Amino acid sequence: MQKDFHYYATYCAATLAGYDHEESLAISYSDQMADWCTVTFLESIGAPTSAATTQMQLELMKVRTDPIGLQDITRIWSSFHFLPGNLEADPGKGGRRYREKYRLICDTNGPLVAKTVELAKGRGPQAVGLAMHVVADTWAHRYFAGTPSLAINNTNRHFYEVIEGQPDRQITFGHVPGAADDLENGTYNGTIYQASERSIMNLGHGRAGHFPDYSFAKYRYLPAWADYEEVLKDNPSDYYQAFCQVVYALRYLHGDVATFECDRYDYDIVAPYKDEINAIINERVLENNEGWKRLGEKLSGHDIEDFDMHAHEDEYKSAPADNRDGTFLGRYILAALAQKSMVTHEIFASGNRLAGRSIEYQKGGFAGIRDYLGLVNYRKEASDK
Amino acid sequence: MQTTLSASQPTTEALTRRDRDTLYVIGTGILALGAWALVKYVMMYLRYSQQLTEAIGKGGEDGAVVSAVLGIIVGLALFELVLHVIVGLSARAEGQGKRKGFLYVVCAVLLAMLTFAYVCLDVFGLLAIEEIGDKIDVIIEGIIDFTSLMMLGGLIAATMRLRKSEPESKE
Repeated sequence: MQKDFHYYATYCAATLAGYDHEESLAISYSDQMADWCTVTFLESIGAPTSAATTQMQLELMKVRTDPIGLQDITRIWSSFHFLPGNLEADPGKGGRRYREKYRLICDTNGPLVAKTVELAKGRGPQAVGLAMHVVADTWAHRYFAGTPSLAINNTNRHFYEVIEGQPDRQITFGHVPGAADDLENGTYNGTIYQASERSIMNLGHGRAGHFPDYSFAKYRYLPAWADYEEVLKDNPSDYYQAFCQVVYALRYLHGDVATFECDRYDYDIVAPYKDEINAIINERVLENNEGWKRLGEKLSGHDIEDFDMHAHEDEYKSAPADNRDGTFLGRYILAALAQKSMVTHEIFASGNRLAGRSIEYQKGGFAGIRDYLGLVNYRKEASDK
Repeated sequence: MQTTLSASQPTTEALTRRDRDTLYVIGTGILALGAWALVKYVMMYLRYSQQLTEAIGKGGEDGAVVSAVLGIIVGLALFELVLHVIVGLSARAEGQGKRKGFLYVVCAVLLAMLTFAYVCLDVFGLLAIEEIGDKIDVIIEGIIDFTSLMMLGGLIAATMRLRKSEPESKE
């Protein structure tokens, strides 16, 4: 998903869930920050680089794709943008390597969605926002995996946009860096075909460019893992579902719902705004910030400031080193480390080595990357609460 | 239409797409092999052209026989090339959903028979040749010819399956 959903729509959802304006802003900022918190950004503020929640194109260009590099890539993308739907899925074919990649395919309402939401309970708006980013992305990014794999993430010329009242239109993916997607003619940018299985071009939905992130997009295509079966992806419907699930999750985190269960949606609360939301989602624009912003300001009665990734930098940089965890970005960083640690552990515990090793420090004591030492107290604080 | 991440029986549409994709890929391979066959004949001519020219230059009965043999070889090469082109282009077109006539299947069968003959010649050659360098050449040729035979077999099988699942003919 893009800023229109991660920032403005999340603000709307938070307001509907009962958060006030300031809390909603903090939640939506943290949600959108997951798409900006790179190693480059963290280095610039002197923060632990293990907390990176994304990788920019320039970083991906020089990233290693040896086993260590691949594990690092997989940890980031699977933890924050392509949450695996079923770590026990049976592909019905292929050896161990294929099975491990197949099991990383993102899908909605998997066990990890519940764990992600529960991990954010009692953690503050930073963790809440980050969790909502992960939950929302399971809807837009389903059927792609957060690990470089041609066998899982490739697409081909069988890619058609379904537009109401018109014959299905074949989508053409070009490879012109920086060129804007052309909605009128159905020409979009995607990564170039690379026959190498582990090429970075085959990460996530890169082969389909930004197209899966457009809320208006309804399309059918042949995922590489689906053995020539066609999949219909209905983003307008999925985005509405995502919004209703995010509202439900936020109500749980706000304390209005006792437990979080997958596959539950707050349709009733959203119902009065259903037509307005569907109009925003179905509008054929690359990013509908204005629509969601308008709705958010109507719901809260406050102006929504534009997203500024540098908004909390000064607080973090000027804080003493032993007090940084208490700053806004400090709490966000801890939330990111916790999420990455949880997902990596779940993948490792399922017997899958694509995200690397994971050590349970509660059982065996802390042994691992120093950045994660703060999580030892993070978990303790949650259980004390 | 599959929307869950669990293995299930393939649908008829999926099998049809798989066969079409097979035809498109193999058709492209057959075209490449046709180019390879042409290169092979040209290389053979360049290697043995001096001996052939001397033999033809002698004139008389021997020269006429050699010329005839040369003509047959050139004809065979062109025939093989034409078969490759017909089969390759038609398979690619059928792989993209355009129904082609049965002629290209007949050509594919002819090409397969010819390739099978080449494979047999490679085997006999391997047994007959003693020079290790020549043996290696024959082994390499044999691998290519065998691969080509497998490709043609796959192409014919995919076409038959498609014809069976989509009996109506449209061009």
